[in-house]
Amino acid sequence: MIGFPSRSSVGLPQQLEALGQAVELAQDRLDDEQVAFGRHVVDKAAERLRHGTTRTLVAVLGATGSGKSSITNVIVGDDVATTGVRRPTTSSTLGCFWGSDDAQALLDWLEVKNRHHVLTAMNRDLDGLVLLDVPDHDSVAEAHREEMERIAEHADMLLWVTDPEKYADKAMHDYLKQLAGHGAVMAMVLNKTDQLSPADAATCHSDLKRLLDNEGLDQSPVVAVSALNGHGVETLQALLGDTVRNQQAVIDRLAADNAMAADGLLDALGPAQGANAVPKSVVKDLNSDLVDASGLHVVTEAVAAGYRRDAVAATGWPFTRWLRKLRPHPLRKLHLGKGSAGRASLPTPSGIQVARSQNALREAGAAVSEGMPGPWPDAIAAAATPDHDELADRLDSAVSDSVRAGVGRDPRWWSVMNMVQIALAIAVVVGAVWLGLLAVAAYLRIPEPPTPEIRSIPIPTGLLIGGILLGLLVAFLSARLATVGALKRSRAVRGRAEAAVAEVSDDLVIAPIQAELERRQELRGLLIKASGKS
Amino acid sequence: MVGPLEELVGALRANGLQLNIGDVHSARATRDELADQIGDYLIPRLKRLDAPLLVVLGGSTGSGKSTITNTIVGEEVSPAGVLRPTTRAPVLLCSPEDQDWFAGGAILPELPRVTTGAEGANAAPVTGTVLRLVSVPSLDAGLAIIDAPDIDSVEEANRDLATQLLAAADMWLFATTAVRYADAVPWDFLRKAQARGTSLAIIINRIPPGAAEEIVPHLQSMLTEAELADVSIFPVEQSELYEGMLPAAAVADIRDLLIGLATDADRRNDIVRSTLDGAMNSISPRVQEVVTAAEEQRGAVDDLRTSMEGVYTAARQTLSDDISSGNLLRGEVLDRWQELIGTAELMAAVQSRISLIRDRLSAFVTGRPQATADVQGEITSTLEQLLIDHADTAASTVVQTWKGLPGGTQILADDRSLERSSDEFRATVAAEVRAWQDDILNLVTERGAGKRTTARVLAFGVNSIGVALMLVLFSQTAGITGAEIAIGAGTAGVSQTLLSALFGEQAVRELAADAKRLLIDRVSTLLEADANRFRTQLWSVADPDEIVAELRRATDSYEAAR
Repeated sequence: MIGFPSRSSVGLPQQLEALGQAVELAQDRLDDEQVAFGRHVVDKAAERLRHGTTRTLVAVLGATGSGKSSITNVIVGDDVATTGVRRPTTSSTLGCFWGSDDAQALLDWLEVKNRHHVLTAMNRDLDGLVLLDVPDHDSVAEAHREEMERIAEHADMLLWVTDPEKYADKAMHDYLKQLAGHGAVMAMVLNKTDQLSPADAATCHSDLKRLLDNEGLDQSPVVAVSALNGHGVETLQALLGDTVRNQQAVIDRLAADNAMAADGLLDALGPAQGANAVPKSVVKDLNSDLVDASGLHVVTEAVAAGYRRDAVAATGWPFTRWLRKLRPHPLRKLHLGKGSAGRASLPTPSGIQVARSQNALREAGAAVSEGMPGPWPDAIAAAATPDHDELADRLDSAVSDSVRAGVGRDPRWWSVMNMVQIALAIAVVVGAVWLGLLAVAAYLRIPEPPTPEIRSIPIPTGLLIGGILLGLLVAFLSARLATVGALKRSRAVRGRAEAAVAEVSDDLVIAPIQAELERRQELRGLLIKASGKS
Repeated sequence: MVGPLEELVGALRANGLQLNIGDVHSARATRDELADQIGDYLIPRLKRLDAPLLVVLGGSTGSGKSTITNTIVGEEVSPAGVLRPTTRAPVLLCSPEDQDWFAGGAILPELPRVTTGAEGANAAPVTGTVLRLVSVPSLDAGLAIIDAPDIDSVEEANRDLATQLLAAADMWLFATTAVRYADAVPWDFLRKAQARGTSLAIIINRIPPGAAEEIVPHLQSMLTEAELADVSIFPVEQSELYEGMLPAAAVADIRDLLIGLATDADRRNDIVRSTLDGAMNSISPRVQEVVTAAEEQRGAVDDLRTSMEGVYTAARQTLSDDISSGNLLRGEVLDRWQELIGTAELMAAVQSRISLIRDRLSAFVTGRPQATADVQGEITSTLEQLLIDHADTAASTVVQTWKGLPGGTQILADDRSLERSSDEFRATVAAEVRAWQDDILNLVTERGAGKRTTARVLAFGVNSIGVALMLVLFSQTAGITGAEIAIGAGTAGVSQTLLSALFGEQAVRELAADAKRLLIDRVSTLLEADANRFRTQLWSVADPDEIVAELRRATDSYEAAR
């Protein structure tokens, strides 16, 4: 046989591997019980497969008094299991095995102590069968139920024995409903047909079949048997013979468990729709809230004010510019001036800033986890909540780095304007001194040297008045230019800082959320692979 | 006696025990059974002690109840068959004389009746849950038998109906078989019969020939172990059916018992008496079980409520602390305000010369009113964020606390919207803060009603005074101490100087207190509305206090009546 002729395109080992990985991803994020069941299935499968698939474990299950032990006896062909009228009869599991002795290891694994080695000469077709006569599930003996559930969980095939009196019992059908996906590895034995007329037996048989169909177990055959007169025993033996020869029950059982676990986890995971990326609008809101929280607008205002101040200091009227320098530099106040390094002395994040960014973070988490069942939204909320100090640090450096990068060299027009201002100032000084000398000469009655004139304006007067007027005009124009430049620079800083804040939010918030969403996506893929639906 | 019992049924049927905590499932089962037993059996029986004796033949599916019924009356009155479960509509057999009594609604009033003769047995199956009345001339008056549906098949409805029928019985004939007598489900029913004091007899059917010697003593020992030693056992051997009936000899003992009862009014009375006594004795301890469960529920609800109220009280307190903690407002808000009225140093120099501030301020207000609005807007958004954060934290704390308390998860009902403040809260909080700011302006106007002050206030502009008051409030650490200007709260200090100069120190203190109280009041109302979401969840659980009280009252009056 090449590969596993499983129902899906993926083989059982791959499915189990997918489930194993899925369980790890689902830890703490999906319903604990489902995750535990998934892990249990993976572990059980590994243990079972270690014993190979050459042996088939068939558990004989059923209500007390339906004839489990009698059926075991007719299959073995010898009275190996105790039968009786006292209820309940069987209290511990009996393991009967056909063929070589290596079945002992499997029975060790199952912790079945009572064993019977059936000589293969009796029935060569059943070589490889391990038949387990299990206690009942419906009597007052609670321990029997536990033992039965333990064996039923580990067996490869489940052979349910019932009878015309008990075939519609709730106790059995409750189990059958849970095993809806296990139809391929279950068969029903309707025992005691000798008590009914052939017509009644047929009615009974079809009614049981109807109940099974309703429970989704239409794959499970129903064999009418009488352990008393041997009717139908051959059919039953042929069924078991086929099962043992195909060696498929092991695989089918584990595949059914695997699918059950995967489906359960898929249910717990919830519907596929919903955000698989953080919506753009949420990112935008988050970033703008973080920008607010980072105190950027204080900084940009300071950048603009600082620019204007520096511009005036460089290009203002030289006779008054010193006044400006008396006021503290707005950026230096924030520890962001030229040549500064380290943390800016932005207002430390107060309670309200924390609140503001936390609201934004909560929104981001809530937006993507809407409609998600189970504990997963908590994991997303945790992913969306970075360490507060780290966030504050990163926001601070995002803002201060942008400012330091943006407040670089002084614009060239400052020095041009400055030279013009200096030239004009010199003209003013020269004019003033000249006029002064003329005034002194006049005072001392020294004959007045001729004062050159240009278009009837004396040059010193022209130098003084023109210098002052032009100086003020240039200062005024420079101030206008500085306003425009300040706006431009603060915008550039703002743009740079916003990008940096967006990077911070991407690193600390969006990426972790995205990782959770991808984990979910990956888990869904793994579960679909595990359930064999892909 | 009937009055108190009716009261008790009312109290039991009141919708309680909703929380899935502790062993509530068994308490609920006890409560329902008790209510059914009192309503369906005790009250009708006490009203008519001479009514016919009702024997209910109940048991497992396939235990041959219908076959035994048919054999006893000698007619096929209840169809038997191989399909499980066979009997879906219960059949009541009685003498023609008693038929009117059973046709009336005195017992099992909820079940509609269909009356047929014996020949109707195989007529078209009756749909829905009905009680088929069959009058059997061979039965004596004074005794009726119900062939009940099974208690353990896949048909859930049958089990419920059987339970209800058994609750109305004066006597149970409990049918089981040789393969079933150790099944768990029937034993649950036997223990129930014992708990409620009902007279009981067991039929063990389909005993393989010769096996009776082993099975009957085993069953007897199991009964003894269950303290049901004096229950009669009627073994019925497996035999060929003839026209759907067992040989008459197989059920002779049972028939004798029933005929004996039918003909002997005293024995009937004894049975009725003993069942009645048993039932009445069993009431108080069983009600006690329900009361204990209800008290446990009350405890759980109290714990949930206390923890929730605690969280919200704490939230109000933290909020109140935060408002006056001094670090509510960001530095730049204070800076902006500082720009508004000058540097702190300058202010310190001109403290006495209030006119200077006034000039600056009024010039500012008249010239650039936008700045006041800016500060005011900043305060609005700051407070808004703070309130939302506190409400969010409170809600998520309650959810986390509740998840750890019994019944909490159930009451939260997976409503994730409870994990943060309500949408309404977030929608109305800004409006509330603005309304509060209006309050402050009113406050300032009121306070400044005196002639001299009015003029001053008007000179500054009411808005600026309001903002100054808010700043004082937000930086008020341990009460206002006039001259004391805390480090870092220089601006607030300036504001306070300004206000003190306007209103006087004492008045400023009162103003700040009033403003804070108004804010806390508004916030409390909002938080209260948010907390109400949790209270509503708690109200979805019927008030356990009332239920406990009602049960106690009903039990007391019942005990008194006995």
